[in-house]
Amino acid sequence: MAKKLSYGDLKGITKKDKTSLKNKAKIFARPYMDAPEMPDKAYPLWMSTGRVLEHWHSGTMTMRVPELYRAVPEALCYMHPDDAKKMDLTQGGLAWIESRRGRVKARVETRGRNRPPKGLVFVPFFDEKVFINKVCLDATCPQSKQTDFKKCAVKVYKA
Amino acid sequence: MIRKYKYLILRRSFQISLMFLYFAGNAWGFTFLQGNLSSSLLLGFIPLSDPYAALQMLVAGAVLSGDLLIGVLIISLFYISIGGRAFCSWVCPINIISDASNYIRRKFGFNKIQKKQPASRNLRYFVLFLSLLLSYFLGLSAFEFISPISMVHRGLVFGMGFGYGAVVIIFLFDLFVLKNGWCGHICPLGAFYSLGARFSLIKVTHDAQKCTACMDCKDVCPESQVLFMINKESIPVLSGECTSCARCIEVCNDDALNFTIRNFKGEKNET
Amino acid sequence: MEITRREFFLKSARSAGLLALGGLVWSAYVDEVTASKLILRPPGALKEKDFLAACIKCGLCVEACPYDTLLLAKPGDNKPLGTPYFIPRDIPCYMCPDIPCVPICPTNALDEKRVSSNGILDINTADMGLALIDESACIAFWGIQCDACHSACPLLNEAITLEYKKNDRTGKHAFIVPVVHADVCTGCGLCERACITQKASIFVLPRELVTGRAGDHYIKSWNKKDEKRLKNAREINTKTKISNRPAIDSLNDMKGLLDD
Repeated sequence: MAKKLSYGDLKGITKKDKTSLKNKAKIFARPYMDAPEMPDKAYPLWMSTGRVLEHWHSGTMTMRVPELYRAVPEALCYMHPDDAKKMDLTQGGLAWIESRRGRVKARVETRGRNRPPKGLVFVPFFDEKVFINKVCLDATCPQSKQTDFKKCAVKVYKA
Repeated sequence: MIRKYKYLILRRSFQISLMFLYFAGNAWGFTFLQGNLSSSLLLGFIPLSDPYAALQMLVAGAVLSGDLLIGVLIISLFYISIGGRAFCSWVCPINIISDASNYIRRKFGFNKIQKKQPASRNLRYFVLFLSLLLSYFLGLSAFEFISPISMVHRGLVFGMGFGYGAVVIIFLFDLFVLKNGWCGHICPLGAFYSLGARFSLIKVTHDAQKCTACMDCKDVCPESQVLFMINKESIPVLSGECTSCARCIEVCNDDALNFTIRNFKGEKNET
Repeated sequence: MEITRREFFLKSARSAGLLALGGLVWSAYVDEVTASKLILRPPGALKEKDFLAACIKCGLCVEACPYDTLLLAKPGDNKPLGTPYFIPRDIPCYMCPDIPCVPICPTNALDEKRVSSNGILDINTADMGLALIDESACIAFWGIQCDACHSACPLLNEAITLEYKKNDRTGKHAFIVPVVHADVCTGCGLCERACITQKASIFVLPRELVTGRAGDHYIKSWNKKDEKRLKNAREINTKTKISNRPAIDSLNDMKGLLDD
């Protein structure tokens, strides 16, 4: 039985009578809030972290499987080619990814998979040698206390 | 004591430093000297190339490019005008092996037992000709594919593989089969340099007045036929086959042999 | 030293014989060692025959490669001595955009023009080989969603694409299989390195060995540009014993038909 809810739009509730909608996704638009750390002049790029197909989480298991290690042996800094050009970075060259909390060194990758949009770099976290944890933000959600690994501000420069 | 081996020490230092610089170029990325004795890059922009290899390439039908021609020009000019056949004693790593065999032959008296060698020194010029003939018909640099010189110098920098075999074979060949076997009878690279070496400015000159006919110089010389004038005439060693190794100068107790700069007017200036 | 005519001739014959023997053994060795066509050259390499003539075996390309991909053939490797090659399964070519190995070659055995478009170095035009897939060993053809090679390819979704095929065995799954596009693939070997099977199921071989040629007398009529190839088609004349005379003559030939 779908729960009965009121209709509304972004401004507020328009139809007070509660109705039930079956087989429809119910999207709750929440008020916008700035991320705890936004890119600024000193740290101009967004950084997000995550996984790649071949490795799971921190790679404690998958990095020790020879076939998977051979397929993807190291974490790369995936960037948009225009961003790389702006920072004077070459495809395959080493770069420091630095935030207010720390920095790691990784190779820059501007082609192939994981092509992020302009303004964002993506560094996966399966590689102990590219310890992106040092760079990530330790702010937590006020309600769930989940750490915000997904967005922080970094600068990337040639190593 | 050191004066007795002055040139030998200089030669070995030069040969070993050269190979070390090449090794460093590959192992640690030193850009002072990169590549190997076939073709190199000095200081990152000066090309130096083996003219004999380039000649084989030309005969094989390859188009010789700019960088290669510059490198060949630099090396050729140097050896023809100044160095002569100095590559063989001052650069080539095989020289260390053949000198070792020669030394053992002298110390154990092999030369006194086997006075006449069973092969002509002109054999190497035939090998040179054959290498160019084969380069033409096979369409590649025929000697470079079997050259033990290349196996050794490339091997020291990039990995020996069975190149050790080349070292052992030449050592044993020179020791037991033929005196100065490789360098004096077979090596076409030496033959190639010999052809241009007769014009070089620096030559060993003999002073027959001071000579006491001990013949120590001929004993130690790897190309003893060039010393035909010993105790006979006071003329420079004009043959292109002299490698400027200076062993004759070192062993002569009577100062009858020395390096000089050729003065084409007829008078010689002692260095 | 006086030498008789007989001695001279014998001596010449001996030298000639020695040269012939030496030359024969020499060329036999060189021929054997250059026979194998299964060697992958650096980007921009001339065709193998021309490459063997032009390569001076200096090793500058090997020293220039930042990934240590290139090796020089050692004595005992059964490859043309001293020439550069690479083994993708060990270290593939990482497709550097500035291609450091090519401009440094002193003899242009690695030719900049072969890896440039419009005069600018373009590694995507390199032709080191062609990737091939063994469909019996590739586990994507068994039903697993792998796509490691597709993800590893630097020309993402252009050189290797994924195709969906119905799995008739289960009836409710799809095979997601890799397909190599020969006109885009550069033969770098990153896919061969990434392949997760014990022996790589996608591997790079020299293009000459693994491609056919349709010939210029087959034209795709739906492609206007393809018709231009017709200009290159040449008449092929095959002569056999019976085609020596025109066909009509054999009809007029009464020789064998009447019993005389």
